Amino acid sequence: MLDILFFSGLVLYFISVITHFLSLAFRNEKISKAAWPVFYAGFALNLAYMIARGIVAGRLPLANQFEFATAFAWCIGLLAILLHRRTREAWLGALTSAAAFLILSFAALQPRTVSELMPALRSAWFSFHIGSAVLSYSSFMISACVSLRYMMLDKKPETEPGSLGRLDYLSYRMIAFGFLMLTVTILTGAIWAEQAWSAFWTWDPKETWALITWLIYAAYLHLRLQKKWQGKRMAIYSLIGIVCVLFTFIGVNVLFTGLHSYK
Amino acid sequence: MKKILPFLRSMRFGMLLLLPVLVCSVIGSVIPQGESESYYAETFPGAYHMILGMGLDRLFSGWVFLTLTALFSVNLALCSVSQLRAVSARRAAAAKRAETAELLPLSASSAEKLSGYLRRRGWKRQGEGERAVWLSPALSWFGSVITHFALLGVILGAAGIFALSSTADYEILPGENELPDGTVLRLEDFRIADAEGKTDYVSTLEVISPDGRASGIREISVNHPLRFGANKYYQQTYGVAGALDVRVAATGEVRPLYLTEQSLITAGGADGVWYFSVYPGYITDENGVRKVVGHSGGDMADPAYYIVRLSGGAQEPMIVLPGESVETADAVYEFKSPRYFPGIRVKTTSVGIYALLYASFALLTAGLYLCFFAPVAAAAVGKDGYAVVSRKGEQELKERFAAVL
Repeated sequence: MLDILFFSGLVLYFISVITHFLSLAFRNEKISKAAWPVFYAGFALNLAYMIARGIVAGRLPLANQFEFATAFAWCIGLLAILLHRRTREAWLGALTSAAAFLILSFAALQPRTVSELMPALRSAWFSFHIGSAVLSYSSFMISACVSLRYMMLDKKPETEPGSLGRLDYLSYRMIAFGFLMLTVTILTGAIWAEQAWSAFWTWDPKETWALITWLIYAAYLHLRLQKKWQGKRMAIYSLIGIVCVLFTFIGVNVLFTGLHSYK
Repeated sequence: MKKILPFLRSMRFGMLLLLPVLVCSVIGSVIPQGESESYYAETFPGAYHMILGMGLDRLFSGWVFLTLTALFSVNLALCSVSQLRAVSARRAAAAKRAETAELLPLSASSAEKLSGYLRRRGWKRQGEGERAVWLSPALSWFGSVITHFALLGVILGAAGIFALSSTADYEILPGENELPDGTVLRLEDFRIADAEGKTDYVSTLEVISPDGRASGIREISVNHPLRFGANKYYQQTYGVAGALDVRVAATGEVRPLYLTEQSLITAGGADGVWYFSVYPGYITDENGVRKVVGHSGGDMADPAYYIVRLSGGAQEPMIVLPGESVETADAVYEFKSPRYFPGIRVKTTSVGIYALLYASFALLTAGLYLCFFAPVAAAAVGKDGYAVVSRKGEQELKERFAAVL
């Protein structure tokens, strides 16, 4: 039953990607109108799966790579829906549903067995630390989608005046929110680590790469706010940033072992 | 000095320092830190001389990284001070910009509505002219300053821990265990699973400080350390100890023993028992001879002790089960079920460092929130128009004002 929910959500996200891209390619209003409800349905199933899994596990479903990726995909969906309701940007669905689909596909490749929470993870900080990480990664992902859109529109003569500026600003705002959430992730992680392992910071690979990601986005914000960097180079920077985020999320777990290797 | 100081507090210098910090971090994540020399020789056979020679095995406590961090702290401190000093100038400049900014059209009633909104949101009105200038709430102007000072606090707190904090790990066996500083840890109980069988490492113990103060019986477990005096006690690891009672024949005295390593046990004479290890299981072959199986220290499903009895100059290897006894001329060795015991980490850190770090964590979060979600801004509201100037959130504020209007 759980698997049916999960894979139905995945399939709906996939259909949503296809319909969103078709609507953009053919500039077809009817397909566009169908694409968002499909995305909403995928999002709802994604949420239903997380709730069901949480009930079965008796805890927040954020304890391993699979559960984190599932929540990550859902959170991308949530931010995309909130942004779409606010901006009504038609392109948003295509890129964000693709991002949510890819992340959920990655989740599908992970073991899905519901396991008991190990003692180190039984803490009040669990939900704050991992919840803020999900929010942070999702914001950076949305920012990358916005930046990708920026790159697609850049230098196109038919681009509506002001739209590049809006995209640039939106990307910055998502990074600002993601950066705040990443800070919360690192700080709550440090407090938790001190309680569990006796040290605020151990230079564990996951910690180190979270710090690298934090420094990269800190530099982004300084360049933007102090040096007034904007536009294309900030869009490229945001795309480099998401590579770092994905490496922190996936690469570190695959390539290194450490205190965060909860497998 | 006139040229050096601006450079030391500049963003360029900060960015220049960040680059090698990033490179160090990447290297430090690729090369596992703090391992033994043999580990590096085995894992990086072609590069281990270089790794050890350049100190890449202890990169984050090496002089290069510490120097970078120190310079970064100087940059941060100078930058924070200059930002703090610039706050009033920035407020004045923003007010001036708003005063001369081009106005977006607005009706008189809407102007009043907008003024009311700004007042309710804590904006402060400057002057009484026809074109009223409003400045965003006072705290918002300090977001960046708070963030930078908080970050400095985090680095100083980390330096404090690096320099002043110490940790040590101890195997704590049932009964009283005296630590090198005279503190006594009295272990009452240790369990590795709760009543429902869920893994849960819990030590029940009492800490008695060298001056005789006692903590009372307390439970410590993963995520729930015990703070007592200047120390903090953590449930860190666990192990298995062999357990036996030595009954001395001459006096009838019974001495309980818990053993974690090879030991020679005697009642004072030449006879005794060489204790080797406790194993998780054993088999009995067709001749009735027992053989131990599994690795010592594993899950104790069917434990068996491997010992050598020393009696009258003879040595007799034996596999003994819990509940069985071994006799020599001067004592009886009664073997019991092995006991799990905790590994406790004792950490000593000043409370002041904790206070500095926690305060810095809270301020860092608050500072960043102020930076991005309560941006510094100035607005001008006249009878027939309004303007808003903000470096960080102009578009959002315009949208917000439009929604109000």
